[in-house]
Amino acid sequence: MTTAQVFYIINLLIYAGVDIMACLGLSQQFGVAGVTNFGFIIFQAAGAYTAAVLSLPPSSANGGFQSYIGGWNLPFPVPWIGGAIAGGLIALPFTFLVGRRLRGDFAAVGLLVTAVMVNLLVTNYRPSLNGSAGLSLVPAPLQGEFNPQSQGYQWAYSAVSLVLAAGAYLLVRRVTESPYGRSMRAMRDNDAVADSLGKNLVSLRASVLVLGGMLAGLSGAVLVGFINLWAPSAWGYAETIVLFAAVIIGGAGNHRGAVLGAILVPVAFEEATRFIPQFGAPGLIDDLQWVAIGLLIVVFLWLRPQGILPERRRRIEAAAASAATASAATVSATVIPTDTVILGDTSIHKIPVGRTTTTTTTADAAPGVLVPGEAVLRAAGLTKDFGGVHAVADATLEVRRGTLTGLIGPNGAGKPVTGL
Amino acid sequence: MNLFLASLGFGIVTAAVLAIAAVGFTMQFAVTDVLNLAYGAVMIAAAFIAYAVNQAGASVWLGMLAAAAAGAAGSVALNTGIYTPFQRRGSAPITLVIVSLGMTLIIEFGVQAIVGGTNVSYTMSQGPTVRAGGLELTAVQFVIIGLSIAVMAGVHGLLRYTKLGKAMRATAANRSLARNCGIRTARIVTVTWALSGALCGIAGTVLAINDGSFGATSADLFLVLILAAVFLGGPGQAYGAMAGAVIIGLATEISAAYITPSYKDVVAFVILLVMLAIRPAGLLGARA
Repeated sequence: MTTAQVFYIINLLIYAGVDIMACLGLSQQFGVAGVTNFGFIIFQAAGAYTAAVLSLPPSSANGGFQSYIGGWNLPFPVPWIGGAIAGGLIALPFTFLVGRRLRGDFAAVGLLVTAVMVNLLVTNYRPSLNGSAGLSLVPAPLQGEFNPQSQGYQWAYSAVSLVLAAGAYLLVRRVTESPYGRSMRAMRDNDAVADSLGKNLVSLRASVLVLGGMLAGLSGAVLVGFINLWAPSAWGYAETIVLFAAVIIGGAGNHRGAVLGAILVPVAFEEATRFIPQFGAPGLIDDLQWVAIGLLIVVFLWLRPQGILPERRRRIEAAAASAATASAATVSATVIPTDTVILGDTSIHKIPVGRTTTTTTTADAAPGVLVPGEAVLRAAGLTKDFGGVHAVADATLEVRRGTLTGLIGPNGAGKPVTGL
Repeated sequence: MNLFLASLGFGIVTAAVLAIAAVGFTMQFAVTDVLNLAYGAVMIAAAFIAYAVNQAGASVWLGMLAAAAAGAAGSVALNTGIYTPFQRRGSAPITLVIVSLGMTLIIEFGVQAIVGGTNVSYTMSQGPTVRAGGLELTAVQFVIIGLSIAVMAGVHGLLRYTKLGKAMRATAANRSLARNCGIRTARIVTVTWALSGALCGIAGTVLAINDGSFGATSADLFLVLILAAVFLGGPGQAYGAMAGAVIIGLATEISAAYITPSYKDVVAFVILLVMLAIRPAGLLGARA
């Protein structure tokens, strides 16, 4: 392998780490919590700018050719930590857009417009972050101790970036599988039901914005430490759409899908093709790439909206009804097998049904007319949906002659609906 | 005072361009509930159709007619070919917004791949400068204002006094109820997208005329103005969009005179965010 090829591979590995981190953050927001954050790229930009101004010397250095706030010249881990914190902090004000009262698509448009505007402001206002020219000569981490141009350093950098991406994967998987992650999925699938069950939608959305923002911020910090420059042209609103394409193609709600999407779209499609020979007019390949990204989104949403690696369907067996049976003082108690509760993309959020019927033999059954034990009413597969709410799903019911049959269950179990 | 009058003049012209675009956008949302973010991309694509006609030697106003036809055809194709199938399948509004962003990339960069990345201008004369009561505008700008007023009057007449307009309003208010009343809603939706697409094409051409030069990505920021005007008046409200366009047009241009011109779109953006946060149904806000 020539040196150029080695650096090309290193370059791809580092971009893979960065894009995986960013896509995992977006997957957590969009795939798991259902927050369509079209302004996601702002968080990455905030992390990159923060890491840059934390590691750069004061702006009077280098002849003062660029102007920026900060310039604290801080040692290595601080800029990356600062980038992650900045990504999380800048996500907080967005909460007021994704609060519960606004339609999801209106909020998404608000976030998109915010991304366009923040980019415009940074481009036009030079003193804070050097305007459209952007920041350059951003120091690489530990460049005093090591030579950033050496192959060993770059291999180590790509390893660190991939390790951070793996850490990000473990983090988001942990969060998604936790009860908190379950609340987020409930909010994504039906926010009205999640709200009525006492989930605080505003704080759930705020926290997922911050979590995704921190991952994006960290990815920006890692990226700027490697490419050493950061300008508004690197984070146009359309870059968010690339990440969305990655998450949608990989599989929204499945973090493995986000990793796969990150490798397929931003890395394989955008970075790896950077060095293919130019043809046609200048900029033609870029234009065609954007067209292809748009096509990928539309075609995938039509043909395979669940992505290459769909979200795993989670089946939760209903708790056994034995506890409820014991509490009923009856001669004979028949536990009707209750249904399984399925939480997934098609069956929306279902209220856990703990329904049992208790049968009690009565003493005054007229002999000859009524044969005790004969079933007079049988029903199976009872199902009733109200919009996205499954009030009753596949309940089985049997009423015997000469018995009093009761239907008990907690509030919201769907008792009267079963009677309908 | 002169500064104020000059910026007022620019504001009226911007409002005129914006009103045509915003009414088209809001009509699409009204009948199909789609926030068609590809609207700006269609505008520019239509403006390039007008440019092709203009380059062939015809007047730019003839080109504008071609752009209107192209915008109508393109919008109908976009709705029946892309958005309606997604909606029929029961896709959420947010999925349609993502689809419309994908279509934005396809149209915008498809146009750029064809025409290249450099800006172009129409071959036309700006006409003599006209002074009226301190306002100083070119004849072309007066034509744009007159055209906008004519379009607004036409939309008003259509919605108020024709059977078609009544059917459009009924479809916008409640599509299934309208269908039960015997209105062919599918046809009404197609007609609405054709009309709004024609407005989109006209808006793209007059935007390009007013800006002087334009490229494939010129409508990115103008879309922010459209969205601000639409949300100010309440999405789906044609009259609201007209009022919103006047307010946004004047606010951006007058603030440009007193702050820095490069930040004039930020005013529209702030108005849009405040509206989204406080009154997403718009100032007139009947429909939530």
